[in-house]
Amino acid sequence: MTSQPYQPHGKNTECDNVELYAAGALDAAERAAFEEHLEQCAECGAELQELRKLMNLLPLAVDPVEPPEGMKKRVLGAVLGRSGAQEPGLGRQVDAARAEVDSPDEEASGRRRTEAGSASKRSADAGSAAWTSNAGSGRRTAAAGGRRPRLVALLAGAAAVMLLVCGTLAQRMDSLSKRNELLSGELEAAKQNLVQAQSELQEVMKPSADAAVSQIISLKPVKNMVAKGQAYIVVDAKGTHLIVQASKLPALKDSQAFQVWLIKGDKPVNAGTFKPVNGSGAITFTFQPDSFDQVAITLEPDAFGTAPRGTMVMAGGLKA
Amino acid sequence: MSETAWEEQLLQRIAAKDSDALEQLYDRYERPVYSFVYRIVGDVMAAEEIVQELFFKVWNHADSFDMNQRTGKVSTWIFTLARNLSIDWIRKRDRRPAASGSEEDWQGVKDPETTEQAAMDRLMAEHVKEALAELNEEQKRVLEWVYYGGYTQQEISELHHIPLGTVKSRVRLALRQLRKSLGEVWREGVRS
Repeated sequence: MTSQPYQPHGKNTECDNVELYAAGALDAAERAAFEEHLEQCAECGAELQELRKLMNLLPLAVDPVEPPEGMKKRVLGAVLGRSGAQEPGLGRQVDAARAEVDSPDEEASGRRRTEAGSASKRSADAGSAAWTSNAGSGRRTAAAGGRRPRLVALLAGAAAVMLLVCGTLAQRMDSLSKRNELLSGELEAAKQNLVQAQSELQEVMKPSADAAVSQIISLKPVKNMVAKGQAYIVVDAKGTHLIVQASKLPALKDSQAFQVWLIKGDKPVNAGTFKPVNGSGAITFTFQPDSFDQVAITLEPDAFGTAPRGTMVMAGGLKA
Repeated sequence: MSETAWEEQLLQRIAAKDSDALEQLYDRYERPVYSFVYRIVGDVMAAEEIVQELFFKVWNHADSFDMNQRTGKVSTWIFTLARNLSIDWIRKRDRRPAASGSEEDWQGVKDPETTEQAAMDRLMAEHVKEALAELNEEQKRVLEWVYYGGYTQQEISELHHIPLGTVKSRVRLALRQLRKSLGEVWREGVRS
């Protein structure tokens, strides 16, 4: 092909038909006319070579389809079997077979029943028969039978299709039931998780039975403050709880809030924020048993800090 | 031995009625030919019958494939036969007049530089798919009707109420577009 892929030469109106000819879009008369032209027009001849190469690529692009089970045996068996017989037209075979199947007369339908009964056996015979050329003479007789083997072939084909369909369905069923099992398993696991979560929740919701105060800390205000406060460390079956209560707290402005901290060394842990009512407020905080040095309350610009930003209001030391 | 030479040798043996050679050729083509035929006829039973008919022709007419003149590749011959048989079948089914496409269509396709291997075919298949995907909807449709449906331009015009000139130009543009898309690949690939 040249670097200019295609320029219509178009000296003759027939030249316009070269693509349609190559693609097979012309009818018999148009084809004949073009072929006549082709003998005179070297350019169309060259063009056609290229176009045919192009058309010959199209079969490559077809999505692959799995041939029916056992097709090789049937095809080669039939081809090598009837190699000596006269070549029948394909359409005629199909038509004849269909005509026979469609035939309403009694004799034909009787024969059909008989054939249908032995079809599976015969197709099995055909399948197992050697299809080497040695088997040719034997197979020729079957081919000479004419319409009957066609019908048998059709029935065998239908049976093969059914088998294929059944096989596919069975596979699909199998994969669906496997999927089902898997999903059931997942559902069961999810149910168990839910049950466990519910029992944990119930445990949490249950009132404490044997809570014991392990520490009571008096919170001391920083200078210039009159606030009073106390902190309790309470231990029960559910964990360790900090309860902080304070009063006579200064009034808050805007979005300000008080924040409680548990402090170990110089690392504060947020124990929650609160806004007092009439200068009094309280908070509880449950934490993993750990040793903290101090509990402190700060005045923060808002309730959402994770580290102290404001000023200390009061604090108290914890026992180790 | 190149794929082409191997296939030609198989055809020579088939012409001499070597059934092992037929089996080898069958194994090589069963899947692509069945897929291609099925793509056209859309019928499992008919597709198998056509494949059978095709190999019957190969078995009995292998000697008509003239490799000395290098008139074409074996694959070209086989796919041309496959398409003709398939189009005949659907035209008969649809009670359309026979296409009377000649089985000799493949002859005269001089392709003297074809030494590509099956791997090249697979690579080419991808390029062809891409090129086909690049066609616009009208071009895809008209190519579908012509190539896989076996409709003539006149039939398409009448069935789909498209002016004949429009059908012509769509076929032409579709093929030109394909050639353009495949132009580079062609030079680099097939013409090795």
